[in-house]
Amino acid sequence: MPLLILGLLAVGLVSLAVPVDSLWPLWSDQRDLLGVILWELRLPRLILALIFGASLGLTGAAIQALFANPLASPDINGASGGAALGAVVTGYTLGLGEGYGLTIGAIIGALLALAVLLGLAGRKADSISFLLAGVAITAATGAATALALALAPSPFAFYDVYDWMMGSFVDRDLGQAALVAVIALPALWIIAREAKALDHLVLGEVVAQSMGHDVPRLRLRIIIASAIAIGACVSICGAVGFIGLVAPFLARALTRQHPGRALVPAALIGAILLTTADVLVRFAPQGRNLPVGVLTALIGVPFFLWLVAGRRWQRGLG
Amino acid sequence: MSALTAHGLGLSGRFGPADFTLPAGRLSMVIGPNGAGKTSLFHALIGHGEAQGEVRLGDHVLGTMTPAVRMQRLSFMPASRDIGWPMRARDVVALGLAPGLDRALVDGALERLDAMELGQRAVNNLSTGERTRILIARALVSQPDVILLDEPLANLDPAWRLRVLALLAAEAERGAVVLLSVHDLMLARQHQGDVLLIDKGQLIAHGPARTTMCDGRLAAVFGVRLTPQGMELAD
Repeated sequence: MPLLILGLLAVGLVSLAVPVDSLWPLWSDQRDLLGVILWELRLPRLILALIFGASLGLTGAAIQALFANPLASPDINGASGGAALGAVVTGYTLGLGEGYGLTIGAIIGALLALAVLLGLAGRKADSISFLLAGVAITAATGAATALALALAPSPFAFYDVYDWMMGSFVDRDLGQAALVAVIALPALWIIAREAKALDHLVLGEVVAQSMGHDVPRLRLRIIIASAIAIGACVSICGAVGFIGLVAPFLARALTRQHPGRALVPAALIGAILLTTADVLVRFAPQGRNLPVGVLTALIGVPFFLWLVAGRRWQRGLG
Repeated sequence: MSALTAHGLGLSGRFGPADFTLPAGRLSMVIGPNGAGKTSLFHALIGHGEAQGEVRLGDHVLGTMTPAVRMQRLSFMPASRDIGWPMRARDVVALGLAPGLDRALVDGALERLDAMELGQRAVNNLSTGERTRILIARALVSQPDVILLDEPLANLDPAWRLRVLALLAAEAERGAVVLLSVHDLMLARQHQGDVLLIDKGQLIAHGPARTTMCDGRLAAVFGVRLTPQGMELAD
């Protein structure tokens, strides 16, 4: 844990760091430019990456614990897709893109996607039905998002949205970062408090109930808080894949597979991973803007395949 | 230690209503044919699903206890042996440890089930019988006042069935309320404690094994007859 916090500090500092050669002009007369870069470009970007990464890691870990399924995560179960659809519909179809409209729309979209998932896959779904339900929801929200954009009054809707949909922290301001922080952090705190109950849930729903946990209420609380955190992040930064899958997996390796105890480490690892990815996309060729979601998917997809293949291999042996 | 008292206990449409008291220091067995409502009785006792009625442990209502207190007072082992995570078996036992209790109790529980070595392995790689022992250790680890076990002897080999039964009898002697469901009528009739006979969602008899499990009831409920040689169909 101390190591994770140290890693978080390190990657945060790197993220804030300004290329040395760009500093030369500052030494002469324009010292303020450094302040502008730090406060208006780097800091919002860092805050958003940290919170989004932590949200993906923590909600991924909580949803995986809730469904007793390591393949559950916000991007695979359709929550991110639902949030994106909610934001697009709110912004382009309803024309409520100003202020908090997008954020509220995204949260509602994420909630609806998780409700559909619960209905389709059931409370304790096996991996296959979970994946299939998630694939169905993700495909449906993707198609509906494209449809909403195609029918949008603005002819540039597709172009506008592309950058945002792939996930990006570029050109966000401190106000947006504060909005995400104010909404997502309390939701994350609500989830993190349930670590013990989620550990007990390993023994099954009935045993957790016998230990005095109100499991139906626990499930509702975690799903709603997850949708709020993910919806808030997606509405500002777009959909970023695979952090919600990878971070909890790595965190559980540190907590001897305790899914509840892994919540906070998963948040820290998610924050480190996403901030690192955001530092890496800055090395894209000059003038090109590589969305951070593309990078996490490039790294995440092989990991996901490895995980799925590994499980099949385990079953074959067992 | 105190008795467990159930008042108007039921589970919507599956069991009850029933009133009964399980005395402290005694081992009680639940018997009944498939689908009679044995598991529903356990679920109603722990307040799972749409449970009705009130369960008291001494003067305290079970439903109002905080998780920390409840874990110290009551444990339940379900009939399912599934554990979804590749956790170490020892950690699974430790999940049953109520807050504030000595971690040495985990070793104690593992030793009582001769499972110190099993404890080092991933619980999902154990055989069903081995996992059953781990889950029994989990149910015993906090030395609770009430121990409820749904079919704890299923999946165990003959020697382990006898050993687990002896362990549970020792828990009762310590003063705990012990309630387990079994399918083995011979075993139920032989044991020294009480029997709760359940049929079609109703508690139809409750008392010492020999008087509760009379020939007429066994024939009516199970359609079998116990003979000195074993068991045969009643007709």
